[in-house]
Amino acid sequence: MLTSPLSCIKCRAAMTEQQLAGHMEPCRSCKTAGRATIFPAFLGDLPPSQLGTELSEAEQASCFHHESLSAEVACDFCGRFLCGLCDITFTEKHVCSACIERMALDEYAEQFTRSAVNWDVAALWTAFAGLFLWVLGPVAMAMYFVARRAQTVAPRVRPLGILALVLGVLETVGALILLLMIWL
Amino acid sequence: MAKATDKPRVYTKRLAQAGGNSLWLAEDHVMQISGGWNFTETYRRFYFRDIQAITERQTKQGVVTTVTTGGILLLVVAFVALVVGIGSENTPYGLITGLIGFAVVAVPVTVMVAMNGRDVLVRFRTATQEVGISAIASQKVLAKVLAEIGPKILAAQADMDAENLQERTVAKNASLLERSTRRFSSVRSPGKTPRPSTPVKPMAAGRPGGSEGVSPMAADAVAEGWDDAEEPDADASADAAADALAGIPNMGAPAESPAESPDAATDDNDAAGDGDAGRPAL
Repeated sequence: MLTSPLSCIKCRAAMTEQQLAGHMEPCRSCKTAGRATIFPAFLGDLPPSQLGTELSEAEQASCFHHESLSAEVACDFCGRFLCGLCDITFTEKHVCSACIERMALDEYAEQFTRSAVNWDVAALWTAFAGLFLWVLGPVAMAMYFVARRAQTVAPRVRPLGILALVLGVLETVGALILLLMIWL
Repeated sequence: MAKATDKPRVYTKRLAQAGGNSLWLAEDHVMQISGGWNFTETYRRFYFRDIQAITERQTKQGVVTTVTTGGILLLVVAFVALVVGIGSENTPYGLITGLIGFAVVAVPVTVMVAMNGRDVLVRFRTATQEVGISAIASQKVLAKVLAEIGPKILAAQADMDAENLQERTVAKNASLLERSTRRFSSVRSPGKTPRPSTPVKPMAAGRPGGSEGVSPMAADAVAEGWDDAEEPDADASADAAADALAGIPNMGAPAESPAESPDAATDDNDAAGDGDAGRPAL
């Protein structure tokens, strides 16, 4: 958990009261103007880690993954009983690890993806490189069509892909004309 | 092209864009996309319930970039005009080229850079990290973003105690600062051998470090910018300053409390972890 105070972004000196109140004031150390917008979460503490409680009675339900720990909650997606250790809170739902893995690949993929290939930009850079090496023209065109079919987390920047396609077409046509001229 | 069978998008509204970085709004979080001009882009999500604070500071990066870009473009245009003028042996051609280059290339590009220049640095703070938000480059955009997500953050944290938020924030920040200062003062500098205890002369009020007789560790500690630890004594007399320094463990002596060391190591890792990720360079 972060234990450092709210501080100036530049010199890391602690913020003044006025800055914490949301007024743009100079830092007490480096004199750079700054401020902070505070939310109630700043005053709270992280919940204590849940390690699960041992089964106290034979009739008590146990965790699906830990037979000796008592079930505290059921998975909102698959219904498995979960102890404090196995319970994962995601968007205010209780989820087990298996469902998290499945969700990351399936319906919640957009919220779990951490990185992705930027096919539009890759196609554009390939098209630019193709200005010097025309054989890359078809490659840029192919990358554009891959970009069209690829699922992206955020909407694509279409003009980049279209520019890559146009350049790719021009380079391909130019390469074919050059080949024909050499052949003839 | 969107198909009828496609799921509805989670991220539909772009809140900010700066270079290849953008900030997108979802129902219960915001997502920053970094590296939008690279072959791969990375995503970082900040759930409204986790955001503790949004800090900002003014910067002159935009001015520096504008001046640099304008200067370079001017030089390039002047060079091209000179070459054309010399090559054509007719000075007016060079002048005309220079004026066209200036009007068509240098000025529009410089104006565009100036309009999109960065004048604010923003960070989101959560319980475990502080991350720079490169997508927000101007105070106007930041105001729009705050207007958009501020109410959503407060709504997501509605069940948290927000009474006397301002006073309690100041108090909590002060206690965090005191903990950090206390923790820092017990850290040993690597590679230095402990010195026998030496009397510490009071520092001149308001001046960080450097006085004769002040132990190197204390001087380093103050030079690092922990002025707040000394601030209550900045305006006080030399006696009050000496009293404050007497409270700092003597750096030359072995650690009096071995229990401090593991905490110091752990918190050093925390300190190294927070704030550096995503920190935009000035």
